[in-house]
Amino acid sequence: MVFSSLSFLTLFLPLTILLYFAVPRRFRNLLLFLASLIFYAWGEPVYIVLMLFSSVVDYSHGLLMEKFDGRPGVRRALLVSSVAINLSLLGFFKYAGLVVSTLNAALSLSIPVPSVALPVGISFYTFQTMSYSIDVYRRNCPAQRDPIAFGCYVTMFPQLIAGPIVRYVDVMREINGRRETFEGFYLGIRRFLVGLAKKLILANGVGMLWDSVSAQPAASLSALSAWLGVLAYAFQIYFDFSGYSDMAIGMGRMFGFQFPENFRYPYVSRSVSDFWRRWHITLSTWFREYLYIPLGGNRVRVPRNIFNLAVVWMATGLWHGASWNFLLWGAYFGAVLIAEKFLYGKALSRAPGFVGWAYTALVVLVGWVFFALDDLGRGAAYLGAMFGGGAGAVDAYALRALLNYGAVLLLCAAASTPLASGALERLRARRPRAHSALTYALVIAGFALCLIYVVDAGYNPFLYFRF
Amino acid sequence: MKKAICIGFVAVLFLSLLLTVFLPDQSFSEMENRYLAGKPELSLQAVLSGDWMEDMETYLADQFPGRTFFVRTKATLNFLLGQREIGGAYVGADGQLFEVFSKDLDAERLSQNAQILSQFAESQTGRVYFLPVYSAFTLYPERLPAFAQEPDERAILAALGLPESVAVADAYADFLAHKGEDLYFRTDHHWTQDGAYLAYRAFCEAAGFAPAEDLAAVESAQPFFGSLFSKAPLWGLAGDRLRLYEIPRKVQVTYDLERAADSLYTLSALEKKDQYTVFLDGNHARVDIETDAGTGRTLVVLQDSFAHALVPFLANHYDTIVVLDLRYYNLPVSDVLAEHPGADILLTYNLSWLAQDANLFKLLR
Repeated sequence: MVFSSLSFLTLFLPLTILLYFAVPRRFRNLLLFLASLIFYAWGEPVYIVLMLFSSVVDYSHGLLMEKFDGRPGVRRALLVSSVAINLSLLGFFKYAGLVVSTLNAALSLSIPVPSVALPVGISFYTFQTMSYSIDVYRRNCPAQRDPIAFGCYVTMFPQLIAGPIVRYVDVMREINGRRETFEGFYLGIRRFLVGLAKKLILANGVGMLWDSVSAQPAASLSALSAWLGVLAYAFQIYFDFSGYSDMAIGMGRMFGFQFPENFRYPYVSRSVSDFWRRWHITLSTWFREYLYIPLGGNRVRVPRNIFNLAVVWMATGLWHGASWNFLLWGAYFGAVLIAEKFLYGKALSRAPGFVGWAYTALVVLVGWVFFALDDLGRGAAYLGAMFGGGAGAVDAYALRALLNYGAVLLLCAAASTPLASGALERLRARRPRAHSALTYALVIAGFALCLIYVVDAGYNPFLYFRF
Repeated sequence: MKKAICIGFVAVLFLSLLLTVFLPDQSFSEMENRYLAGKPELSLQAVLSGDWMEDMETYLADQFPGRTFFVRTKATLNFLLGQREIGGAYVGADGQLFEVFSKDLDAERLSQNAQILSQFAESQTGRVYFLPVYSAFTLYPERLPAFAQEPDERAILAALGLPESVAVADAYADFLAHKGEDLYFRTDHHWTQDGAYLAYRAFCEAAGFAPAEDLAAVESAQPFFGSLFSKAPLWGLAGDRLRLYEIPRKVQVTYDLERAADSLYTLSALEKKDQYTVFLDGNHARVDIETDAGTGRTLVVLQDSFAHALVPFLANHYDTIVVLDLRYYNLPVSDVLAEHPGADILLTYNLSWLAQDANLFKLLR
């Protein structure tokens, strides 16, 4: 179920909220667990078994690790077993097709390509359950004995299908006992509406421009069209993804959870490393905690550090989708980050801010081309069109696109910066009453706008089906 | 206030669900000109396949209380954000709407259709007329939004390369001369009957008839919101007034060989949303018309819906008119022509549609 759909907004969400607050506190985890199962089954009636299996595996591994507390060898074996099972699930359901078709192409074999549909959210929930097993192994947290509480953590619908990737240690305390308040619920609504508006108005608004541009052969694109197209995609994926995270964080808040932040205005970054500290923060954190640091992180010699970075970034790339363009995309960012770290990072930080910003924007936009087009040849041709290899610099199509989408693109650009939230903060400091009146008005107007856009949301793509 | 917003948020969402479910369902949306989805039936199979959930989403959206209001407001907001291409329609100067065609028409289809037309025309014994119908944007390019691109219909006509034997009744110059009049609806892709009348005069000139003049006209009481309005239903758009010319002839009309009528107009359509269907009762595969013109002539018209407004004028000059719409007519055209040996043949098509029409091959059957 997509958050920006009417089944979710008018059927699932209000019913879940009403029931959640109607039942006694001790049943609330159970209620969330059951609601999340229905939520998942709504879109994936069959694969729900897989998610439950994954939950049972990590639940039992956690308990066993605690049981064999004094036996390091057994604990280690349990950790390896949990990680192996999780990665095998992910490997089979996400990467089998890629591996087999690559083998076929490379060795001219004709092994039948397994046609398994990717279970929605598998990349998110396997990473979450793995974080649990690893943290129990590292004694960062005790094992969860209550299966309902554990199931509630794994399946929790706000963050189930598109993140943020909530580590068990982040919400452990709230799983075991939390307090819901009107204040928290209100803040949750506010955050949820911010996310919904980002998705419905901004992401869907510019998404059509990218669809229209990318539907044309690259050779017939003018440079301006190609730039407008990739800009539209950059905004679409940012507002779609961060909008989802906002909605997840907001709904978590309604139910008394504090999920970690996932985005912090990535498009104002002045270096690529800065960008990755602001984009999909919970994924970068996960890879840092559970892959980069175990590999030795940066407390090693330079060649080994470079190797570690390369591994982490190729893994990050592949996490985004089972296709070679994602690996290339990850390797590309790995290379840029390595270069930034060891070659020109210092010079960059001394350069004027706009230089760093323009450099980062260029690197990121070029990256999005490879991310968005899974055919490498098309990606290369598209890049060519951006740099004048298509049909001239400007054409009527590009000007029409500018006319139709200029205002939405400007809105997106403004919403990519902390300008509005900064202004609200300053108002809060100077005139708190005016500030609260304005936020109330904005919340109500935002709610009305979202309703207007969702009823006629014929165009409502879901970008994370591959993650 | 915070408490009120919390309660209001849940209440509004839940209430819209209750209203959707318990208010009687609407089966047809006049504004959007389409059927709306009803409640999906619950069954284990539909749930397991996921169909029920998908149908539920469509149902909730289609039956959302006040849907029309939301749809129109969204279109208007997009317009205010600068969008001039909404739902497949260009919003032009003074709120005139234009159909959006891709500027790059399928060149192969066009040359195929040109070939079919020539082949058909050359195999006829009767007189063959071709009457090109221009779209509003060809006559009023200055009313299109900036940078809008539409096909070059004059070039399409030239590309058809019709054989010498075909008499082309081209009203282009006359249309240009009368540009100041309402030759096209502002909210529908069709021409008005005033536009069709100019085409009729061009046809008469090609056929050597004296066109009927000074016909009386009546105007519909309700404003007409046409097909393009369904695509871009902006608040504040004024509807059109549909004018109807009275044809002083006794006629006997048979639709699809079944239903008889004694008028070329279905006046009840003026009370409905799509008032253009007043002309020849809208789309039919075949319409047979008998008139008291007493000329002894017969005409077979192969057409799209633009001809609906034109054909009534022709009742002044033909005893029998057979109107075929190849989008719906799937029997051999040659049989109809054999029924009426020596009949005049009028091919009349909107040029942009003709360039991409996939039904023209039926001409040769």
